[in-house]
Formats: sequence, C-alpha cells, structure tokens
Amino acid sequence: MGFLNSLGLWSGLAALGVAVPIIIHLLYRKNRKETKWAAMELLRKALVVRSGQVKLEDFIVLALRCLAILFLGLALLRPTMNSDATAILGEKKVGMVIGIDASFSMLHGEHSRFEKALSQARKILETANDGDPLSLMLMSRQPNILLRRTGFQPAQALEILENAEATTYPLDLEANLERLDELVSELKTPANECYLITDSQEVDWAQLSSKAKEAFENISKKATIFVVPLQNDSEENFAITQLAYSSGSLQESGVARFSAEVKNYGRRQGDAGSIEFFLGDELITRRSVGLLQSGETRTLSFFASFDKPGDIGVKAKLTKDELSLDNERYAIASVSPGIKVLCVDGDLTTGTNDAQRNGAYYAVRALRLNNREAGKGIQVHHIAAQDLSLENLGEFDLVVMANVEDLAPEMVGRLEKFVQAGKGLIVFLGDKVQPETYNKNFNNLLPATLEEIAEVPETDLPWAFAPVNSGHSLAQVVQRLPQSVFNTARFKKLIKATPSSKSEVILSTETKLPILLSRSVGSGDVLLFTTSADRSWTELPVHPLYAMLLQQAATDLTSDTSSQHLIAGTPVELLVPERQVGSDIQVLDPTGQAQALKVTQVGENPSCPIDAASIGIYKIEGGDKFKSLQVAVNPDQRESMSSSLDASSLQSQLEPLGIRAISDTGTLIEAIENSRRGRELAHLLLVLSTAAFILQALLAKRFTDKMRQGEASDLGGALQINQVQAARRS
Amino acid sequence: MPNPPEGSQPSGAKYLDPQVLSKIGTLDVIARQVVEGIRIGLHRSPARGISSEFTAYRQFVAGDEVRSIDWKVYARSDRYYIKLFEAETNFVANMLIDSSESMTYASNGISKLEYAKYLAASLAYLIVDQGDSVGMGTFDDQLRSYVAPKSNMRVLHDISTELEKADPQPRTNVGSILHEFANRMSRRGFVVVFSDLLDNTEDFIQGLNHLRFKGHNVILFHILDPAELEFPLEGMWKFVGLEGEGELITQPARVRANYLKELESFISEIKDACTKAQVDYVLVNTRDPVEQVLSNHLLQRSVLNKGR
Repeated sequence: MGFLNSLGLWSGLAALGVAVPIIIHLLYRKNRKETKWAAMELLRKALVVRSGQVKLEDFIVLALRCLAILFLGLALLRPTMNSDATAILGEKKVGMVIGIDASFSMLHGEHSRFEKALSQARKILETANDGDPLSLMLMSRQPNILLRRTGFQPAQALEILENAEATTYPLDLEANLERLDELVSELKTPANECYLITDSQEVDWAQLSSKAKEAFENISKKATIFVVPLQNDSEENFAITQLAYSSGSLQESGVARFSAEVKNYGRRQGDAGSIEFFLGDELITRRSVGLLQSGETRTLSFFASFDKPGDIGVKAKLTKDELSLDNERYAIASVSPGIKVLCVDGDLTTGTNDAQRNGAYYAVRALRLNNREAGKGIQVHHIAAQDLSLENLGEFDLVVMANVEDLAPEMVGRLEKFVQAGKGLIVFLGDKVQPETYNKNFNNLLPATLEEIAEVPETDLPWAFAPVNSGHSLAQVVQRLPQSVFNTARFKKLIKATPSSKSEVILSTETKLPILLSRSVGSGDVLLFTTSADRSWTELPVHPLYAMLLQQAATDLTSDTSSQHLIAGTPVELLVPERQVGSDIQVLDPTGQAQALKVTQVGENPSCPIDAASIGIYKIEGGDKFKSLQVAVNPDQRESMSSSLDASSLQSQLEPLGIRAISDTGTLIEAIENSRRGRELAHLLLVLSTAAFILQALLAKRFTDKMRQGEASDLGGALQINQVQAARRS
Repeated sequence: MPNPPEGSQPSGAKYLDPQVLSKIGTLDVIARQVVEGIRIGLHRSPARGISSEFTAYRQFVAGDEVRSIDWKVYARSDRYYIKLFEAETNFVANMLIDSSESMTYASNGISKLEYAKYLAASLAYLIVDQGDSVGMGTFDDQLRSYVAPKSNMRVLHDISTELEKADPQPRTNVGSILHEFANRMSRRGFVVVFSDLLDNTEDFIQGLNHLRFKGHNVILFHILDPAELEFPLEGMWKFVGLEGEGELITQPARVRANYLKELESFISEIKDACTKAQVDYVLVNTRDPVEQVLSNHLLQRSVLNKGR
C-alpha cells in the first residue's frame, strides 16, 4: 500500500484529526464537577443497570467520530493498493488529454525525441479503456488538435500517432496550455488526466511564465497533470544561426561577401565539421569550422559573384549533426542589373586640380570605379542642383546631394516620396549648407538636427575616426580596414549634428562628433555625411575608404532584402511590388509544391500572405512580365538550444504547482495506475467517512432521545435534556 | 386556600422557608414559630392534635372491678356504669432522628439533618403544648443520645441541646435501632422516625414491624433532598459517598431516568411496607416549608382518624 500524497504531512493531520474528539472527550472529563452524595446506593444501582450501556454507547459514538476523521485523513492521503482489492469498486471512465511537444527541437537525435514522445503516448494509451474520452494534441507554435473528446479506439489512436509529425516551429507553451485547459474542460468524466510529453527544453521550462503557471493551476483543478520529460540521449547541437550579405556588390557581374555564424548549443566542446556554401544549387565553397566550445559562435564567410540579375538563393549547410533542421540556413541575394545614381551638385565652381574640384567630382568617380558596359554596374548622372526639378526621379535608384544649398519645397516633397518608395538618398554637407535651412526643409529626411560648424584648429591634427562600435554594414567596411589605413582618413571641418530618435550613428570622429548617420524613411534609407564631398573639409574623398563606403552605401540603399527573410511559422504579408491586386501568383515551397494565391492589398502596397512551414527557399512567381521573387525561410534559433531540464529539475520547477514530472515509462505507468486506484480508494474513504459521520449523528440522537424516556416533564428537566442532547450532537 | 404546586417555593406569608428557619435562632423558638404558623393555617380545621384520648361508658357486668363504677352516673341514673379509658394518662411520643453522615447532604442550603431537627422540634412543641409527653433520641449506627419523655416545655430545651450536640457519623442502621428501641420502650406510645432511610430497607421494614408488634404508633418522616428526588445535575460529575461508599463518575443526565426509577422503586417499597404495618409514611422534600409538611400530615391524619 502506498500514498500519493505526502505521508508525513497528511498522516500527521489525520492523527491530529482523530485526536480531536478524544481530546475533547478527555477535556470534558477533566472539567467534571465533584459533589458529596448520600444516595450512592441508588446511583450505583442506576449505574449497574446503565453504565455498561452508556459506556458502549459512548464508545460507539466516539469510535464512529474517530473513524469519520480517520477515513477523511486517509482519503486526503490518497492511498494506493497494489492488490486487486479495489477492483470491487468497479471501473470508472478516465478522460485523457495528451499533449505532445512537436516543436522542431523534438527532431533532435538519430532516434528523434518526437519518436520517443509518440512511444510514451502509446504507453499511456495502453492504460486507457475502450470508449474513454480522449483528446490528442501536437504542441508547437500553435496547438494542432488531432483528436478531440473522442471515444478511445486503440487502432484509430495509434494510426493518428503513426502519422503525426514534428513541425519546424518553436514551442509556444502558453498558447498550448491554454488549449489543453479547454480540452480538459470539455471532458465530462469523473476522473480526468492531462499529459504533456516534451523534451523539456530549458528555454521553455526553466522559467515558467506567470501565464503558464496560471494555466497549469487551472488545469490541475480539473485533472491530474503528468508532465513526461523525455530521457534525451544527447543534447549536442551545432547550428547555423545566421547567414547574410555582408559586403560587396549585389549587382550583375558584382562580387559580394556573405557571412554565416555557426554556434555550438551543446553542453560540451565539439568539432562542428565543415560548412558548405551554395549559390542557388551550385556549391561555391566548403570551409572547415573546427572545434567550438560550448556556447561559442564562429563566423565564416564566402564570396559570390553574380552573372545575372534577380533574386538568387544563398544556402549554408553544416555537416549533419543530431538536429539537422538548423544545419541549413538560407538567404536571398537580390542582384540588380545596375544602379542608377543621380548626383546633384550644389557647387559648380570646380577647379582643374584635385584640391579645387567639387564634391560631385569625387562622388562620381568613387561610384564609377570600373568601366562597365552601358546599363550595367553603377550608372551616375551628374546634374546641377537647380536642374533637379527637371529630372524624373523614378528613373533612378539613388540620389546623392553634395553641398546643395537648398531645394524648393516641391522638390523636397518629391525626394521624400522617392525615398519612401524604397530608394536611397546620400547627403553631403559643405560650405553652402545653412543648418537652419536644412533643419527646416529636410526635417522629414535628415537623420539629425544640424548645428554649427565644428573645425579643427590649424595647429592641431585633423580628427580621425573613432573606433567602430556599430553593426551597420558601412561600419563593418571601415572596421575591416587595417588600423594604419583607417587612421589616415582625417576631418578638418564638419557640421555638428544631433541624431534624431529614429537614426543611427554609423561613424563618428574621435571627438565623438557624428560623421555618418543613417535613417529609414518609409521603405528607403537616407545617409548623411556631416562633412563635405570635396577636399575642402576632409581628405576622405581621396582616401581609399571613400570609394568603398560609397560603393557599399549604393548597394545597401538599393538592395534591401530584409522582407524576404522569414522565420518558419511566422505568418507575414509579403510585399509583391508591381503586381495587381487580385491577380494570381504562385508560391513554390522548397519541396517544389505549388500553391496558388491572390494578391491582396495591405495598406497601399500589393502583398500576399505567406505562412511558411518548410525551411528553405520559396519562390513567388506571377507571370512572365514580373521578375521572380524569392523568400528565405529559416527556423527559430530558440529551438536550436536543445539542452533540456532533467526530470528532477523539472519536478522541482513544477512541484509548487502540485504537478508531477515522471520520466521513466515504468514509473509513469505505475504512477498513473496508482493515481487511479488512489482516487478510487479516496472516493471510497470519503463515502465511508460521510457514512460514519451520519451514523454517529443518528446514534447520538437516538441515545440522547432514549435518555428522555421516563424523565420528569417539568421545564427545568426538559431544558437540561436539551442541553445534553445538544452536547451529544456536537 | 389551595396548596402551592409541588416543587415551587411557597409564599413567605404563610410558610417559613426552611433556609429562613435556620437563621431564626434556637430550636424552641423555631418550633414555636412553626407551630404558630400551623395553628393559623388550621383555625378552621376540626383537628385536635395527635391525641389518642377517648372516653366511653358501658354497663357493669360481673367480673368488673367495683371501684371502676362511676358513682355519679349511678346517682343520676340508678344504674351501674363503668367508665372506660383509652389511656390512663397522656400519650408518650418518642422521636428518633437519624444523624448519620448521609443526613448532612444539602443541595439547597439546608441539610436533611437540620430539616429533621426543625421538624422534630416543631412536632415536640405541639405534643408538649397539648399536655402529652415527648422524648427524643438521635442515632447513626447506634443510639447516640436520648432525652426521656416529659410533658413540660423544659423537655424542648433538652431536646434542643441534644440535637445541637449531634455529631453526624457514617453508617446508618435504622432497622437495628428500631429493634433496640422496640425492646427498650415498655409503654406503648408514638414513635416518630426522621431519616433518609438510605440503608438496608429490609432491616428497616423488620424494625417497623417490631415496633408495631409492640403496639406502638409509628410515624415515618422520610426526608430527602430535592437533588436526591430530582437528580437535576448536568455535565460530568464525580460523586463521593458520604458514608464511605467510594466514588462514582458519571453524567447524571444519562443515568437520570434510571436513577429516578430506582428512587421510585425505593420509595414505593418503603411506602408499601409502611402501609402494611399501618405506619404513617410522610415523604419530605427539604425544599418544602416545615409547617407545610406538618400541617399536611396532621390534616391527613385527622381525616384518617375520623374515618376510622
């Protein structure tokens, strides 16, 4: 015989409960009064006749009271018996809700955690009887109900489990617990059980949210909860956590660098093997990752050249480990056929030597590094500021303003729309720029409020760059330069700028004055150089960094693919520019399966809803006249953290909620059976307790009523009898 | 005026509360108070006391003593008549008071023994007042004191003194005392017994029969405390025997019915024995006023005598 509840605590309480009537009885005896008595012989005769009877009556009532409390205490202990003695109680239906963790971490292992979870579910189902109400649910990003309050049929349930699959989504524990609570509430059986079979990832279970705790508490009011943590053979896992364009030209015939980060999520140091980089389906290179400490991240990069424009998938693939889903990562390179730049020059007084040339001169040359064939690479169109109103901005991808004094408000409005539509704007300042005018007219475009001019005294050395601490791709360009080269870029003069809340300072001087700032405006970006584009304020235009910065800036500002990188299981409205609302598009998933969708309107932009479940590259095609759009879908990195709580840690986490975590199958089945038997015994004991209580009340009344027989019917006597009756009933 | 309901406290205008009596003073004063109360209460009553005095005449027959002829009657009627006397002299009453430990029990302030003293003293006053003789003895397991019968008020003082000296002792044996008394009293008369009779009932009945056999008129005042008669205690009680019977712990409420049955059986047995032996039985509740008990008894007795 065992007890499901704490024997020490509850048996102590039960003993206390049993002691209560005895203590009351003893106290009652202690409080007796004493008198001398003459008619002892009469009293003795009365007692000779009655004392035995009274003692017996007392004993019966006291014993029944003690039994009532004893049975109640035992019921609270929830005793279990290993014999079949409880079979006489008859079988009772048990309502079961089984939630199986189907997040992608469950795919870990050669014999995956998910398969083990299904095996545990089968074992649990073996304890069910035909017809018992059963709900089955897969838990990941959202609940997936496989069976809902269906009478248990072994063949049906096993078939459903056979076909169940883990997802590529992370686990949303709170949402799933909420749904489990609903399923438990639907059960109408006297005894309900709720099972959660999970790999008990630390990320989900180490710190339960208050909402999750509340959900557990709600469920535990209606059902016995068993959390079944799986016994994980290994927790080692390497994952590619990031793959992204790093630098270089994303243009036809351009070369760009892509970087991948590999992380060791395991508990031990390990060899991450090698990583392969693919452009499209073509293997570009294979690199060795080497040994990684637990928690260590290593960045590896490769160069890819593009021979045709359009979106192209980039893939990094790690040597297979125990969780393969996060061994591949995808990115999209949006290669443009060429970038059309409009260079707007505010200073037309250019000289013939380098020192006298204006900013546009250097900018144009920095952007036109290579002699490209017409229509390819960066094409720069150079105009004077006063001619800007004559240009059709829609033909350009990027506008560069150099030392432009001011623009008409109408022109400023056109520029704003140009940037908001996803195009780029680079602004250089200079001696023609009036800070007040810029602050007033370019307020919606500039990433900072301009102040006065700051200048290095002639006796001092011009300012150098401060060490880079930004993650912006332009900052990374500067950071990759050798220190000796980096320090030669100097600044004599600039306009002080106070960054706005929506902007980012990419580069600044060693005196902490911002040099390069960025701001997003609509779908486009604006870059602000607080110094000049010519050599009057800085030697940067003749520094190698200048061309690198402008080239990178041109690429960054014209090839934003962030909207084309999705996390699996996160539904998004994907912008599909130039498509007609209501037109048909076709989405091809990574396995090649096509799905027809209609273009919808979201805000002012045509879009289509994508809820990507598979990891890989999705292709959106909408007829010949539109270019193909590609989307990279990657898993949520949280699920790569495959380390789990062991059963004892999970138990200590769940214990305050009164929930048991049992890992071992045998122990689990025993606990389930004990729980059911215990419940039956508890019910029986509660019935016995109630019966004993009622019986003692009836007997107490009967015995008291008997006392009244033959007694004087005067008022005082009746009152005394009533008092005795009341005392007995109490 | 109707008698007050049983168990209720009578009005002080007519009766003296037994507890008040104890504050009055000496027994003779108490007795006088009580008897005066009775006389007021009996002023319309035909009763003349407990005297057995009776006078009658019959014609002289051969064999009668010549001296017993009433010559005055002869002078008037010229016939011989003999004057017959029921008693040559005033009757003698002996009162026996049980002064054992059990008589000291008091639940309402006045013990059975004190009550018996008031009752005996009052009765003695009545008897002496009408010219008869009264004596008194106290006993427990033996006769402790005895005041020989006298017919003057002096005897009241002696009785008072003896009663006040009474030292309660355990173990009553009323039966043996009655036997002893029956043997000692050569002259027939009244024997008045005051006791709770919490003793061997059979012995007592035999003692009664013995007295009756000797030709005594016996009156038994069976004195019990209200608590003994009603057993009204509640809660858990420890009872300690007054005469060394040991202890008993019980809840009176639970055994009350049976106790009252036993009490009723006990009283019935004594009452039946008294009826058989032609003994006047008076059950006395010490809560009742003394004069009420006395007057009721005297009234009852006179009615009975009339009927005879």
